[in-house]
Amino acid sequence: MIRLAGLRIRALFGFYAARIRQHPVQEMLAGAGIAVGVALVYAVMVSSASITGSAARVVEGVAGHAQLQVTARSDQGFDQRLAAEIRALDGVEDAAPLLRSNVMLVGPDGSRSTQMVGVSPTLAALGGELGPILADGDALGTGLAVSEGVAESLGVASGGSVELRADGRARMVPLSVLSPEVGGALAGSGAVVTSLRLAQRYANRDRRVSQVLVQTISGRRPAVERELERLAGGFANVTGVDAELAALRQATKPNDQSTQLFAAIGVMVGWLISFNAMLFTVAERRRFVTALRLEGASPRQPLTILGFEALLLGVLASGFGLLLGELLVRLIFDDVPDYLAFAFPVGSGRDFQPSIVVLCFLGGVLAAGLDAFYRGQAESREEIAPRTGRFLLWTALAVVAATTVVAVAVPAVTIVGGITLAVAAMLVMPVAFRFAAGWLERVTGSTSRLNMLSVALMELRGPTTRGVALTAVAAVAVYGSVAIGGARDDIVRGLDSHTRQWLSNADLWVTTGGQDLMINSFTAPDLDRLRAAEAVAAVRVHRGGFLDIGDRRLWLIGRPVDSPTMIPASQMLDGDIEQATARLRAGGWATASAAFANERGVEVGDRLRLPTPTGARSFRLAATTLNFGWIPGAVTINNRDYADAVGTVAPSALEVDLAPGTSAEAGRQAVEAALGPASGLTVQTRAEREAQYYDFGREGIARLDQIAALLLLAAALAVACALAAAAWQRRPRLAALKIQGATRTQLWRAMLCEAGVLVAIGCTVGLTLGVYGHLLAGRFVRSATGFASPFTLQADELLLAGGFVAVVALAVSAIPGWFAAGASARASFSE
Amino acid sequence: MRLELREVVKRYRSGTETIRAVDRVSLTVAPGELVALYGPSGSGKTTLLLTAGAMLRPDSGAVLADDRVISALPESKAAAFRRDNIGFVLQSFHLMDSATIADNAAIKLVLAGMPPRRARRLVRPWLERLGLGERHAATPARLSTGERQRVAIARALANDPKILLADEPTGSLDADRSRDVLRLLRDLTRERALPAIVVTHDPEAAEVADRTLVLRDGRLTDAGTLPRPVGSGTGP
Repeated sequence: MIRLAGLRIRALFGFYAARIRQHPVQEMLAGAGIAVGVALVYAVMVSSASITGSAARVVEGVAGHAQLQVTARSDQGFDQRLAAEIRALDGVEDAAPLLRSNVMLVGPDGSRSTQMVGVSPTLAALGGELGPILADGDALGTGLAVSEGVAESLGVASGGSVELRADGRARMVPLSVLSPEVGGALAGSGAVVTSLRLAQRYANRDRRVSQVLVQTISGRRPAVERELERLAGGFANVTGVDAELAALRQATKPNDQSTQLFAAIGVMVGWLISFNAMLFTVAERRRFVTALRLEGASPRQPLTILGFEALLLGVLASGFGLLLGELLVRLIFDDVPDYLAFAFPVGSGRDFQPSIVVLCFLGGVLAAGLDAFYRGQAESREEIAPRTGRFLLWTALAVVAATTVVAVAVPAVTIVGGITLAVAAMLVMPVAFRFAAGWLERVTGSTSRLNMLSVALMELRGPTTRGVALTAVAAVAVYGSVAIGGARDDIVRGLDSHTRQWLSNADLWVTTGGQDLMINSFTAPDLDRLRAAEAVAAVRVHRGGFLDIGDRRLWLIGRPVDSPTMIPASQMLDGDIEQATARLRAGGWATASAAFANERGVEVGDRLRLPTPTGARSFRLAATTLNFGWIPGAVTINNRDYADAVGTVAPSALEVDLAPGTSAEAGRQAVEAALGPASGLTVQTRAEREAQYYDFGREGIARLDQIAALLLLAAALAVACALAAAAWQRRPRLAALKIQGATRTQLWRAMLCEAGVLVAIGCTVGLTLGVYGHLLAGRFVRSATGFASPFTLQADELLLAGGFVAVVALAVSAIPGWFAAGASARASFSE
Repeated sequence: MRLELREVVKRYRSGTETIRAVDRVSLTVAPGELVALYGPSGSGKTTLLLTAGAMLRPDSGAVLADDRVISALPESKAAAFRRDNIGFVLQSFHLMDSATIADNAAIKLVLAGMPPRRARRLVRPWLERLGLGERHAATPARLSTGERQRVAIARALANDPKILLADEPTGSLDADRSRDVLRLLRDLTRERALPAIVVTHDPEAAEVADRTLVLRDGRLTDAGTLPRPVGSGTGP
């Protein structure tokens, strides 16, 4: 029979069962705190890993044994004969061409921008999981094959037709649905698949491909790579098949870091919630230990009992937390960000990683263990001595100072500073308590109007571990929300400002219509006919696309030379905007995101070399800029240089100025009429395009909003539960006050005042440090993302974060508080 | 003020059974008279005390203070009556841990609407009389058990009550401290002409009480079994 410290396992279970019967609410609260922390971390880690994981599965499933790839440097692709030449190379086992093209699908229930992948039968030879399926004409049908989710969102059943818009043309094409079993990882993604031949026809890329996957004979890779470089001849990139994943990781890194910081703060809040619950039973546990010792228990036996209980609580709470986290992933964090889908092969598939489950589970058990350790050490209702409070305050100030120094010196580690500031918020609490209580006491001391607040203050004068832990929950949650939420709002404002400037160039925008960066080129419509329309004053050609350089998928922008704005002023960093504009118009000059320019060691006036589809080209750097809202960065040249460099005159957007006095709607109708009914292009007013961009900009950081809301809600409910539990536990004392003549309403008001003061202290400390955290986080975000995000304090946002926690906590705790205030007088005789 | 209980009955339900915690008790306590109430656990002492203090409403009978029926007052009026007229001393003290001694003693005055600073000033003489004047700014955690009991007494007396009720006021004290507290209660009762009921197990109480009564199964009986009963409590 297994025994621990001489105790049977069954007896240990019995002790815990008795404890749950005795303190079900406190135990549930402790478990809920751990579960909340585990759930947030799990959900964030899984959803972050799933973006890159799903992309990896798609890449691996398609590429199979291929190690190398040749990729086009623009969406125009390259001649497919290159695939045959590659296959014929010595050392090449097999090679398969693909054509990837961004398209738009329009069905009865909605539209969707997505990537169309054209595959050839040779793909099957590479041995990838998806190869044989994708190369199977029967599975693909005679048109487009899409996942069940895509078909559903469009409102088209298998065998139906969908409108496909590609290269500026619209056509109806048959649709088939890939079942999950058939489509594997790809079925979970938003991509649509078709045969190479059809893809070339739909995208108007006759005999063009954008990628050739290459499987080399063992040991021949270096030689093949050299041969591929020769064949690519400077107009295509030769890389490993996983190069795209590195670019995806680079693009998602800042967002992942911010999300992880939020999750870390979520863990702290979760642990504090659990710690709070534990504190309610410290005195009782100490009595239990003493009683056991008096009964003859060895010193190890009470510890074994406490440790076993912590282990059980940790296991149960962590298990529940994992389930809750899974629910979050499925219900809230399951969206595939469109801002990545048009640039990378991301899918919505889940990426199950046992390491994440184990990590979260062990973390939860460890948190329960820490609680149990404290429970054996301290007296929760004991006042924290003023001296200890001062020591903690100095420690907090030292932490803030050290965080500042480190964040200024090494911005990359600001993320750690986010956590240390949260710790500082907790350390500040005892002194904040004394200060607030002392100040309020002076205010209320001479008046009889705030008597119930005075009664509350009597209870609060000395900060106790329990009071501090309770306020710390509110403080840390509000801190996290304000710091990260503030930085997030700065980004949004910066992006919005950029969008307004960017789109103010024209009254109407003609694009392929997707929610993207206007990087999809299309065959130009009859521009003369468009210009001749009565409502139209001017039409300018904007060009844009991606350019892979190292790990960066850069946004290459070709601005019309006749545009009033070549570079939005909000994006300028180093250089004179007038001069830079003139230079861009003249040609041979470029502006580049500062991070990219720094990486290449290029300064204003220096030559910047870009590997373009027509070979390497040099531009002189006219200015450095922020990154135009695209994390990997942007390079701007004029549209003529763009056409030369990319080898196409195809626009990716048309900027239309309307004749004076023409309304946007009338202008749109005139332009649509000029484009003709067969056009697959979308005409949008400036306001419509702006609205689309606002959504687009917010989508990338939507996860932060979701976690912030969850964190605040969890904290508010936890504070409410802790307040309610504290009120309930205090019933004998409330009954005693009743005997002294207090009415139920008076007691209830006093408890509300006490709760209000506690929450207000927590929220104030959280807000104060949150604003400072916002300052540091904003600095980090600007350096990591290159977004224009000027620091702005928004009083309404601050009040919303603090007010939400306060109102929910008070409102929820008010109900049990009312019942506690109705305690029978007999309760005061029960102790 | 005179405290009078007339044929008071208080019942409780325990499962399917109805228990008469207080069974037709009649008792009159004159101003300045201290009654010591003994009885085994579960005999109904606490119920009787709560009923006498307008905390519990009797099922039948009445509690009167100077001929005013206080047992039928609605809850808010009963609370106000307690706040203004009754001093309760509880065995468990129920002091506020974080509040100072002065705050604890002044709580009734603050509940009655007095500004806290003034309430603290008013209770200072009581604290000084009880030997706590020097420690008025300390918290209960720094006091001995006897000192805490004296704070509870100061709290009971802060509103200058007309009736004094005490539940095991010496239950947590050693013999010397118990004697001190009981004598203090007797002195205060006489000095301020308060009717007082002290529920106790302490034989010393019988020495200081004017009358000694015993409650058994909810009924008052004489005190013949007590060690050294004083007074001639005969009930109504």
